[in-house]
Amino acid sequence: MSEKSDLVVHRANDVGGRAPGGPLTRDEHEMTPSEKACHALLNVLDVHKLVNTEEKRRAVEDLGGQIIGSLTYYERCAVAASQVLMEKGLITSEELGRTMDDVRRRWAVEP
Amino acid sequence: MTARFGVGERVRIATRDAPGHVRTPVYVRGHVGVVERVLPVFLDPEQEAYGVNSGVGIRLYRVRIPQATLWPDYRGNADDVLELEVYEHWLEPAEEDPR
Repeated sequence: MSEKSDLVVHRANDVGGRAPGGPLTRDEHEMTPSEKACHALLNVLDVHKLVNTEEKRRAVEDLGGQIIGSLTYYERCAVAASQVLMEKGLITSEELGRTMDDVRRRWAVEP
Repeated sequence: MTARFGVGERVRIATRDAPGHVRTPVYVRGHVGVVERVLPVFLDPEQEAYGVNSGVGIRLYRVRIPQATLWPDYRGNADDVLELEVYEHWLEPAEEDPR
């Protein structure tokens, strides 16, 4: 496969045989409250047929290797789910941004 | 839905390098394996991933490939195999001996 083809076809989560290999780092942790909330929300989106597992996995892949490598599992899922909801016209970036601002104000977290 | 392949049948995993979300990793494409078991029919993840809701079902198989044929520098046990699950539209009949 040419370098360009590989960039297009060999998607970020398809890591089998890719250098560098080596041992897996296993640092399991208790799920945080926000991770539990995200998990629950993803289940609700799936049950209501708004974002299914396949769409979520595809949207995570679409984020690309750099973002996937930098975000935690639930951070990736949350961004991916928001992408799918926007693709389907169910939310807009503006609505999402306003809600995120509301939440930040509520929790008094620096943006 | 009738299964196209049976247990023990030799199959070649297609070399189909196209854009899109698929469930067949690049490193097994083009390799020959043996059907280890025939699994149920599932919704086609390649269509489901794009919100198509086509409802198309595709047969899934568990395919066994010798590790030594996948990795030229494999140093593990000669009998080691990889088992992975592959959808029917990625499989073709193969005559060659996978070993």
